[in-house]
Formats: sequence, C-alpha cells, structure tokens
Amino acid sequence: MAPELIRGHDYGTKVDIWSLGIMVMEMAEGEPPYMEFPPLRALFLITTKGIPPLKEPEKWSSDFQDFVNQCLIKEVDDRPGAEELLKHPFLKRACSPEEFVPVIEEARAAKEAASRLQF
Amino acid sequence: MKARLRLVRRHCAPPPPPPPSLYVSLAHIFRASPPYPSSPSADQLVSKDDPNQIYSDMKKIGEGAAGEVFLAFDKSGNKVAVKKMQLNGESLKLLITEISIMKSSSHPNIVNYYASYIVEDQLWVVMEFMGGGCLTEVLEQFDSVQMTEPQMAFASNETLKALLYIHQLHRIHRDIKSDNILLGDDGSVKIGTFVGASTSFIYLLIHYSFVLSFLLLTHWCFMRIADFGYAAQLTKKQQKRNTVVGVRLLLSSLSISAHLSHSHTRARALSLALSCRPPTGWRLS
Repeated sequence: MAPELIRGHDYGTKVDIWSLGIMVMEMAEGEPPYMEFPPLRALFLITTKGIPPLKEPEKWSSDFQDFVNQCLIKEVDDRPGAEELLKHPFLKRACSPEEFVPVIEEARAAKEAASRLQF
Repeated sequence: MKARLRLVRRHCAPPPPPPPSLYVSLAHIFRASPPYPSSPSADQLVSKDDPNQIYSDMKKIGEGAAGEVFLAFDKSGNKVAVKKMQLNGESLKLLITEISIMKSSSHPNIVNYYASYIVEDQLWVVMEFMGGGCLTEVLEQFDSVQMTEPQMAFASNETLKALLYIHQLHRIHRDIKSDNILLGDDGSVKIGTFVGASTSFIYLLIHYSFVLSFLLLTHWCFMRIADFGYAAQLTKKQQKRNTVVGVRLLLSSLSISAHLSHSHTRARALSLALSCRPPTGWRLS
C-alpha cells in the first residue's frame, strides 16, 4: 500500500505505480519487502522508513535498481506516472512474449513436481 | 371522519406482497441503490440468458476467497473462464461497479470481459481464459524458477501499458499485485481488472485508510506513554472486558489517545469498525 494511501492523504493514479514497484521487487526477491513483520507493523514501516533497498544490489543492473527506486519514491509528486515510466531504459531490455513463455512452463512443471512429492 | 377514512383505507389497502423470492430481493437492490449515478444498472449488465445452455464442460480450476473459477467452453468451442461468486447486497453493488468498469475497458493488456449472469444466489462472470494462471503461481515457485531482468522488464512493460490506459480513463486500479496479473499460454501478460476476491477488503481499506493511519500513530504514542504508566489505568478497563491482545489492544490504546487528543470521532469510528463494539463513553444514537 502506497504511503499516501496509508496516511490517508489524497491519492491518485500513482498508487498503482507504487504497487507495480512492490510487485517488481517481489519478482526479483520472491517476496515483497517487510514480509517478516505483521501487517500493521509493515504499514507503519512503509510510512516511516519507506521501502528497504534490494537485498543483493550487486545482483541487479543499475537500470533495474533505478526503475524500482523510481516506482517506490515516497513523495507522490516526485514519483513518475505510467507514461513517463514507459520511457525508462530498463523497459527497453524487455524480452519478447515467446521468451516469457518458459517462465510460465517452468513454474507449472515445478508446481506439478511439488504436488507429486506430497503424495 | 378520521376514523371512517382509516376504515376506508384499510379496506382499500392493496393485497399483501407475495413472499420475497431471491429474484425479487435482487431486483429491489438493483433499483434501490445503483453503485454510482453514472454507471449502468445491473439490468443492463447482467444477461438474463441461462449460462448453462451457452457454456459446457465446466471444470473447476481455482478457488479464492470470493468464489470459484471454472474453465468452460462456449458454443463455438473457445475456452472461457467462469468466475462464480456468492452474492449479498453489499458485494453485489461493488461487483456491478467492477463489471461496468471491465466491460468498458478494452485493451490488449486487460483481460477481456464477455458476460455476466445471475444464477440462483451466485453471480457468474465470464472472462477470457488465461492458460498460464496468475503471476503469483510463478512467484510461489521462486526456489526453482527465477525471472531474468529482460523477463521482469517485459512483465513490467505490459503492466505499465495497461496502467497507462486505465489512468488515461481517469481510473485507478488500486489493487495491482501478482494475483491480478494473468498470464496467457502465448506469454501474454494482462491485468485482471476484476478485484472480486478482495473487493470488500479494499473498499474498507480505502475508506478507513485515514483512520488506519491514526491507528498507527496512536500505536506509536501508546508505546511511548505506556512507559510512564499513564495509560495503564485506562487500558485495564478494556482488558477487564476482553483479554485478547493484538488489534483489540491497539484499539484500547486508540481510545486513550483519542481521549487525550480530542479526536473522538475518528477513533471511535475505527474502534467500532474493528471491534464491532463501541468504545468506552460512546453512546449509539
């Protein structure tokens, strides 16, 4: 939840950009930030401390880190909108849909393997 | 004269209404309170046809908090997803709003909406079938499947394109998360605008978000003042009534701080909302 939403300030379309940033962090690290805290504590930490940096910064390119940081700017006015973000250099490196298919197939195979192990 | 009039009225009174069936009560909800003045009514949105005659071979593929998702085939043999949700007055109003938004959104990165039906006490929403499931299912396998930067860039780019479209229509999604990002067998990435699973929660969250922030602040204040023993006396009262810790404890701290800061209304509104019990000194009028 974006800080302005938690604080109860006026909010706009940029709350979606914040959520996208959190989702990208989840894609990179497997879980969203502050998962180790109870929900209310996590909300409190977002408003006071913001989002912690990526756990292994050396693993990621500077473009990627900048993209995440842009999405997660606490000040609404400084956070870019969707149109501006679409011009970000990180997105220029996007793969094709065909190259994305293996992710779906590997995840499906892993899920099936895990359920087979259970039985 | 008055007595005679009353007598006449009693005799002329219309016959008692038939016992309310589900359809009558739903129709009443539709007409009595449309979600927003500008949105189309449920009559326009919900098809009156029998979906069992249109869709065949229903197979359950998922289950969420709001209902179940089925895979089915339409008359021309195309795969569709059918989401079946239990209806009640509150959820219906929100779902109708969601449907009207979905119906009016058309973008390659937004899941297509086909139709909706009311079957007994369920709302069926028929949507484009996304064979790859949701992004959450990929993230759950993080130990074995990790996305590369170009793959993450692709997913972000597709999501952003849908967001730009939604934002240009002056709408806010408000629930972007991996559960709402759906994947196609061909590698397509689409936003499911339908937030059925968490509608009521989000609704509450938005409406009480200002109160929530208040709660956080007072939580912090409580931690501070508790050290001075000031709050102890007041919390005892609450603890006598229930010894449950957690949110209830936060609530007690909230009423203390409300007492101190004169922000009665907000604190009480939250206390009422979360504990379903009015805090001390509150009289329901």
